[in-house]
Amino acid sequence: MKIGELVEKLGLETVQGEWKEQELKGGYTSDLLSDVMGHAAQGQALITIQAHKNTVAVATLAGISAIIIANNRPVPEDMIEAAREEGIAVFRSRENQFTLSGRLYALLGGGG
Amino acid sequence: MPFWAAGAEPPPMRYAADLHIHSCLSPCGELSMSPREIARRARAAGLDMAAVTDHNSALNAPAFAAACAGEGITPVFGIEVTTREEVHVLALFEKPDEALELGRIIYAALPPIMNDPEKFGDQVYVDLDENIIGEVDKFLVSAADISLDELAEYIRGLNGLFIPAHVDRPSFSLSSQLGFIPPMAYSALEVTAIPPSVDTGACVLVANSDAHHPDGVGRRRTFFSAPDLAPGTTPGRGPGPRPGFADYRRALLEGRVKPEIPRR
Repeated sequence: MKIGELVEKLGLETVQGEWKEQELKGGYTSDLLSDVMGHAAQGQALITIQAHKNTVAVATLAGISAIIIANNRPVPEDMIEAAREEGIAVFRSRENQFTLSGRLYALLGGGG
Repeated sequence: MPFWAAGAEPPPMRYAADLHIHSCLSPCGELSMSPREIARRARAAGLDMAAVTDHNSALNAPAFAAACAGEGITPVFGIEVTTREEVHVLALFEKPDEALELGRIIYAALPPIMNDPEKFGDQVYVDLDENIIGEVDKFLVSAADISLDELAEYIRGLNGLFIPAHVDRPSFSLSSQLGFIPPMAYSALEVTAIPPSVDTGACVLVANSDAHHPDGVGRRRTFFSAPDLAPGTTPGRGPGPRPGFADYRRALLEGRVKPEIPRR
């Protein structure tokens, strides 16, 4: 599944729409960015409520290709700018991390 | 200009500061940690400078100013802010009003979650004589909806020092929350071990006790030199002039500080 397909399938709001289209290789859910750095893998989508520009920095280091902000948290302008520079998609959802993770897991074929 | 010449022996680091101490206003701080008791303990521990830094509030600053005047210690007024990233940052100021102003900004940015004293502890502020003046209703351990960058900006505007707390700890620190130390204009980084377990680059390092009970005051501290001050007449701290906030700030800028951390 491509990143762009997430928007319709998960009903996401696109906050930063300039990304490099690629195949999504899975997902990772965490609100502790040091944990994301340690465990997230290249090409995954990150589901989190940490909406600030350091999330983009960590996503860049971990190779995360899309960030989904849960619970409709406001996304600050400096985060959007940082993500645009890095070509990382930023989406937002009303749903919480649990629900988003469950839906994404199912979409990706139950992990395998 | 410093009074020592280039190449000469640097001035001795004779002054001691502990600028991270919790009072009875922090729900985790003991009720016995009144501003007066903290000032008394700071003096007994041989500190020249001490700061009360409660979680997200500075309401004990006025009492601490009065208490330190009585003990002959230089007070610093601070807050241990919890940012949106859930990173603890020390915001330190010269004047109570500066700390109280930041406290108002933080209070407005705290979520409407109320403290339950039975579960979390009391959040009371007191006068010099340890009479309770009031109680903070919002739970002070919550994260304020203020980012690290916004906080740095507020602190700069109020002439304060911006010092991320215990950056080498596994919780509520830059390293635990973000996984790295982003490049920002830090006044210093607070560490709990030397050498710290995380890469602090070229940042100036300080140590403070983070005391929550009276015996902890001064347990970790930072020595600094103040070359502009005439030295006291006795070695170490003497009856000479006391260092002020500006002396500490300059010492950080010029790297004239030495954190002291006892072995466990």
